[in-house]
Amino acid sequence: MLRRLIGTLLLSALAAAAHAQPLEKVTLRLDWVNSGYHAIWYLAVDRGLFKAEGIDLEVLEGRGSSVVAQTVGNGSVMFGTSDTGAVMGLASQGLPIKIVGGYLRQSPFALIFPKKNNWTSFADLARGNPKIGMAPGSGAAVLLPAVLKAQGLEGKVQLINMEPAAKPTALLEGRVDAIESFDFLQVPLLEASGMPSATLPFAKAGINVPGLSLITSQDMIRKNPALVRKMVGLMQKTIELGRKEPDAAIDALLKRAPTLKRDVVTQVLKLSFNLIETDATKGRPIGWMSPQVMEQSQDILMQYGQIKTKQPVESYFTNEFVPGS
Amino acid sequence: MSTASNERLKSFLWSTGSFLLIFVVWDLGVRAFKVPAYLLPSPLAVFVAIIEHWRTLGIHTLWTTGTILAGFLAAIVVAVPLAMLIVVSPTLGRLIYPPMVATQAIPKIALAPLFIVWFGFGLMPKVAVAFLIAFFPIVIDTIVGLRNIDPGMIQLARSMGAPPHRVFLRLRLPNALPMIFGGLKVASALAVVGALTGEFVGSDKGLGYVLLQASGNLNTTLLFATLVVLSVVAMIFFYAVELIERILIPWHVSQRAHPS
Amino acid sequence: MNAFIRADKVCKTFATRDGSPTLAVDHVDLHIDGAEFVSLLGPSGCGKSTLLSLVAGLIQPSSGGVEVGGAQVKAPYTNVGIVFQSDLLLDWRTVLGNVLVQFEMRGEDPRPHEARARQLIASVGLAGFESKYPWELSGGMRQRVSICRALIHEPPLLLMDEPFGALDALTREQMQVDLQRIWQSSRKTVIFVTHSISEAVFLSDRVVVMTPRPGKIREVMRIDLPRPRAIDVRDTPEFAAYVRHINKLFQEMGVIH
Repeated sequence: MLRRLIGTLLLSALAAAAHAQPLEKVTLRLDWVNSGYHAIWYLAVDRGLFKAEGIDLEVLEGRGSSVVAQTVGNGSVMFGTSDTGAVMGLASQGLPIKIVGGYLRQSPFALIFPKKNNWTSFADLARGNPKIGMAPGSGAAVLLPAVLKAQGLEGKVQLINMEPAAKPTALLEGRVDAIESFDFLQVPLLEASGMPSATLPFAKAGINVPGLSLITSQDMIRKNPALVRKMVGLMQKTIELGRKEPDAAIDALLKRAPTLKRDVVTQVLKLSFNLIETDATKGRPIGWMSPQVMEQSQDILMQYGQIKTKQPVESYFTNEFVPGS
Repeated sequence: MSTASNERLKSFLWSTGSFLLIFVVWDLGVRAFKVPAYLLPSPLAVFVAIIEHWRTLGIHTLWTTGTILAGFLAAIVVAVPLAMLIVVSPTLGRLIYPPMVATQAIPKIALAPLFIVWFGFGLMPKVAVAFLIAFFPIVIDTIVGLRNIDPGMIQLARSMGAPPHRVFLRLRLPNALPMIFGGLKVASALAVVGALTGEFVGSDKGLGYVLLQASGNLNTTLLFATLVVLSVVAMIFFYAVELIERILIPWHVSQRAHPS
Repeated sequence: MNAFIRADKVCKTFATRDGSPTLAVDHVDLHIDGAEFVSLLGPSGCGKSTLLSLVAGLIQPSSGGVEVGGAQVKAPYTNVGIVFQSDLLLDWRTVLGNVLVQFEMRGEDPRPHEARARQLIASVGLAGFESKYPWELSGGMRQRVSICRALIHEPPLLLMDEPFGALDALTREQMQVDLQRIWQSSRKTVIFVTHSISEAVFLSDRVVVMTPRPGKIREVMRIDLPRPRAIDVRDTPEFAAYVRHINKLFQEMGVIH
């Protein structure tokens, strides 16, 4: 009788202790302001995925991969999603960050243009000296010269500098013939504004530097590897949940950003799913990065001055935290 | 009705009328030239957007207002004493003035991304940008105002036995108030610009953030709606400073009754 | 004899913008007794204002000395009332407040002096204007306030530098009459700078005629006209004689030709 009482008390004490265990506060900064493809994170938070693993996740909006990477590097935020190319460039300059899991492992960058241009391959751009709108410093703009060179288009197109926000309008108004950008972002916007659009992905030109990845500081890896592993695993779950329930994800997004247009952001989210898997990652868990692709990416980035000295590719990323790899 | 309030009513009607005229021309233009909404929305669409997104706009307006106030007040708290220091001590002035002018030449929009990396996202970089932009006119106008006193008045004060600190506090300072307020009014407009710049570059709160999101999503209607709200905020701010001026220096030339 | 104000071989040299020194006041000897009304009369640039500033202690002599009340003047002499050509009233104070500024600047509480300030304001004909601001007054009224400010603390010495120069001719004449009346009732020592011959003769016990730059004393004239002097004293032959004499001096100096 007494043993039973002590046992019950002990169990309840343990249960209470487990409940009383405070959630670990974790911050994640996204690459940009709220957009369709960010919906998966909000759905995962709302469904308690992070809480179930003892994490109180704060999702923050960012201002471009470069700035996000720098704020991860200086420790002002714990995790971030940033474009792989941008991360590699900064890491090679000594920023103490590392990719711990790939998210959009196919390059999202593409030339986007009105369907009526009738371009089916990069070779079609060789005629007519087309104008390409680009925002200097953006992820795609950095890789554009590599694309042009690989396709023998150097000197055959005009590059017009503009502010990122001006790109879609410039295309809609016909001031440029194409723009560089994230394909899944721009196509829905342009079509919603009445212009059927097509894309020429940079990957098709052989320039396939992976897109957004989950990054953290080297400090975090050293001090709290368990948390890093948890976060990569949670990213896998987040992506899977989002793919399964895109509409619920959009609901979660619109709760936080009510000014966004539902049909546009839904299309953006669905298009982003196309970039999660690539040929190189077939059969591998979500988050796993191909060392071969990373080597090729370093070569491309070195060619265009983003990386000055060759480093062992393991300095940019690690698969050690990817569950199932 | 007295002539004074008659005049005020007339001027109010005139300004309302001119705004209405602008809206009508704008609306007709958009319809006539079939301008797409992503380029120039109609005023009615903008108005509807303001109503539709009143909650979002309201919350972010509060954030921007807070940033403007923080940056503006910080600028005053630093600029006015600094100006006094420069006037009172010519050697210190010679030390401080050149670097101050040099930093002024740097466009703050170039500094803003750097602030994000230094201070992280959040209130600090926004307030820092607003502060830096608003600071200069206040310090310059305060210096000019403090120096702009008839030397005869200083002589009179000395002959009345006033020690230097009294000459400064009871003579130079009140005499400088009209010029200081001139600087404050300019700074109030610039603080708005600064807050907005800071929000553009590194914040997920405030009307600047809403503008960025709207432009990125080609939601020009929301963009205009935000701009309208922003101009109202800026106007209220400016007129608030004017009101304080009217209370603090009722004796100044600009406040005197106009001859009827 | 111990004069109230003494200037002994006073010289004042100023450095001008191009570096060359200008002698403004050249070895001036002047003794002024208490309760005297003395005018410094001369053309522009003759150093009369400089001399006034030296007496006030606002500037220091290059050589020679100035004594007031037996003591060397090495710093601004504060037991004095000064009236400049420009009234220099404070825009942010009322008439009453401006008069009491005399105490405010000394760090004294002005309130005990308020009643007397009102009396003084009334005595110059500005009763009822105590709460008005300077911009609500005419030039002549503002100058009267300035005079009240110079008198409120009852200084034994009054220094006036062309106080009526900015006023129109009619107001100016009225102010001369009023000043005489104020002076007569208080018998302060007054040093009055002017370039108007008739003004100097009308108001003064003595007129110090100065030469053009560098300023020296040409002659000190005693004005023996009976007081109080009404405005029509200017029509008397005695007055005319004084004026004629001074005119001749100026002609001799080449000031008028």
